[in-house]
Amino acid sequence: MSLPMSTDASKTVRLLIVEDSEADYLLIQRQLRTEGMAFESLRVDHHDALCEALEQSWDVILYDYEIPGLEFDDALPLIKSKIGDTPIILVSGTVDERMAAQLLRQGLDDFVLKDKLLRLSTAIDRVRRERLERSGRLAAEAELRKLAMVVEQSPASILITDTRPAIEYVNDAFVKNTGYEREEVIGRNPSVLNTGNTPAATYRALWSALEHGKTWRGEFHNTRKDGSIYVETAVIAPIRQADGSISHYVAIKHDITAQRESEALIHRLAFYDQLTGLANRALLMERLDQALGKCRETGRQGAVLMLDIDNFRFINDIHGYDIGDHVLREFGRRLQEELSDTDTIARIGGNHFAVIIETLGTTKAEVTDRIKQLTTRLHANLQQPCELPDGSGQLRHATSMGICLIDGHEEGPETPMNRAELALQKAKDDGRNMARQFSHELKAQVEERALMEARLRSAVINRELDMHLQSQFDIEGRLLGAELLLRWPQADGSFISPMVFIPLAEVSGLILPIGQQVFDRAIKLLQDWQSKPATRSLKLSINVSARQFHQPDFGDQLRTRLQETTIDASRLVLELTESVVLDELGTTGEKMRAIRELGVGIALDDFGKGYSSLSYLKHLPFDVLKIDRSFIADMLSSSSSEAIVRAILAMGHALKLHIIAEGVENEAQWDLLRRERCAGYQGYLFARPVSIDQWQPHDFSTIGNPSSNAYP
Amino acid sequence: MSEAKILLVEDNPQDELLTIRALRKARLANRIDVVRDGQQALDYLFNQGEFANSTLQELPVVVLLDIGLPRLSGLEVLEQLRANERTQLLPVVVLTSSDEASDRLRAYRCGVNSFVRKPVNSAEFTETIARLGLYWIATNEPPDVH
Repeated sequence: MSLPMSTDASKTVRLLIVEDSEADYLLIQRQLRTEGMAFESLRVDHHDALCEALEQSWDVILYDYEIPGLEFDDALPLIKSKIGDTPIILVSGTVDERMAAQLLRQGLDDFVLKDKLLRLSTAIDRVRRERLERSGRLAAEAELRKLAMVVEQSPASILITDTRPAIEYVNDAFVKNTGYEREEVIGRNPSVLNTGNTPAATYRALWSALEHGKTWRGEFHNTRKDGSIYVETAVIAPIRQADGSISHYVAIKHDITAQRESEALIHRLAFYDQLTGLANRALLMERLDQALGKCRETGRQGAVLMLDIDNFRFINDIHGYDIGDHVLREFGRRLQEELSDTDTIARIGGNHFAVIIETLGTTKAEVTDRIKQLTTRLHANLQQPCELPDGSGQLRHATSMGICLIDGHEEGPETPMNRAELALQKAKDDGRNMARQFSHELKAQVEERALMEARLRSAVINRELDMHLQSQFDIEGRLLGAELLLRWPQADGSFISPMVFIPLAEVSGLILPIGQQVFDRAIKLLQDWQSKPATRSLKLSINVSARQFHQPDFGDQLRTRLQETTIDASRLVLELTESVVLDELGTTGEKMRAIRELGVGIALDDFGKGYSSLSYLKHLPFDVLKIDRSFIADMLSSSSSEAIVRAILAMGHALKLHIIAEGVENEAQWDLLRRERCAGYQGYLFARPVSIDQWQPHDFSTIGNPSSNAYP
Repeated sequence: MSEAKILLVEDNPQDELLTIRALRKARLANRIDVVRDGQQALDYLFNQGEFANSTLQELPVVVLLDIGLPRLSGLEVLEQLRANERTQLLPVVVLTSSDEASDRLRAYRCGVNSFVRKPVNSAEFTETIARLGLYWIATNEPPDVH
């Protein structure tokens, strides 16, 4: 036969023969052998044997209808359940037509009468062939079902169109991915998904490929039913009929939106700062490397700028991280506002920003000029108050900047970065809110300062800072009290002035332990003074720095310390500079009033050293105003300085402030101040600062006063 | 606290320079706005004319007003300020080089807060202006209406 079973036909046929008569079994065997059939067979004649035999597989079962105890009607369900589709041929002496028809309905494949065994081999061939065909069809059907299921359940969107093209079929993934129901798209052109974001060239390439009967691969930007856009890769192929004509197109598409997004995200994570959207350090370094190359090629100079928001941690500490983040974003936005698109702006950590400016100019004058303009503009913009996002107010902060010019002859991007960083450090050292440009002198200064800071640290830890006292007198020359002054003795016997090391201590935070030491010493001194009649009524002034004063618990610390002692708090005066009180005027006033309630006096130190909008004077509870030494020094040589001192004294009288003139060095100054009824005096004319041990509570008199003689 | 600013109405550039210099020498960092004639002064204070587009400004803590001004004299400015509710109580100091008793009287009748003669001597001028500045900025309490 030409059927696929031919290979099977050549095989030995396995027959299970259910037959109680040995003779009939032999008869069947002989008949089949005569027919030339290659077979092997097993005879079973009782129930258990049948059950055992059914554990194996058989090509055909021959069943004798009339076996006592193994009636066919009972055995059929058993056989069907064990080996469902094995063909069964009933071999029987007698079978009436009616019964035969019923048995065939029950699943019997054929029957052969024992007296017509000639038919048997034909029947066996036929049922075997039918079975093979059936199972082949089933397999083909199963195969088709499997394929349909693959298409149906594929995670890829599959779309089949006719040649117009109108959609004929879409799978579940398509429905899920696009949001369209089947009935909404069947019959429509696939362009319903088109956003216009896919380049026209893509469609041209697509149709050109399909029209030539080729498969096309590419990428679409499509829209879901809800309007959202997604990206997918697609393979679109023509489906051909047997005659070669194209009847359909099939598109298999993968949504790669998430993948694209994560790729973009990975890129952003790698090169951009998540908070501000600016470049990060990695990207900045890459761009800097390119910028250096460009400078080398063009002969133009550029610059690296590094910027820090001054005292940013206070913003986080006081207002919280949300506000802090807002300030950082706003800072980034303002940088973008002031700089051009060709400049790289990066946030390289915390409140640390950096900018690369590729081209500033070629000549030194040009570069200097542009840098100056730029920093001025940046400072002006950056110091504008920043509106808080909840509309609760504004926040103002200062910015320090470090600049390093680049010409492309640097060893690598690290060099200008380090230099800009050094310049930034210098800007901070010099008091913040300013810009400094790198130079080798600057480098030396920064290094020297770092060294000095290390030395100061060890001096503080080892309590090597000395304290001196400088007496203060009233208009009659009577001793009012003294100011406690710091001195930093050096190995060579000289001193470093507090004007040098206090700013350093402020920046480094060393001012806090220093302030503690000063306060401890002051308490001890006041206790000592209180025990002696000559010093009992004197006042002791100590200097309090911004950093100390702005500690949130400064007032509480002070109260606790004073309560631990028996000293009269009204003997203590805290000297604050304008810069201390001008930060956060609101809280400053409260804090000052709390201090005044303890009985402690407050002096405004260095008055007139800088410029101020004096309006705060009326609102803050000072009791003493100390006129800065610079005014006193100029007073005699400049009639206008003299006029100003007069005006200040007049104002002080009006405000009922006790005014002390600092740095009074000669009689002429003293005379003038006395004529203007200045209340207090401090200066070399009266007494130099001396160590606490040497200090004596003397009144001042011009005749025979030792400190007067000491004046050169 | 908003910044306390000063309005100087002065047509003589030299006096303007001396005045500002004296205030700065007194270490006053306050903003000093300068207008150069009487009409400009009114425009500034009422947000009209060339100042119409600026957002309504807070009034200065004090107006230093010269008398001899082009377009509209200092005394006319003063009269108009006193006639308007917004500026009725605004502290105004008249600064003048003239010694006309009639001017002084008229200024007081119009409700000037202070009448000061500009000293000829520059040290005296500085001291006077410094005193004025320190007084009006640091000592005097302005009315709370504006």
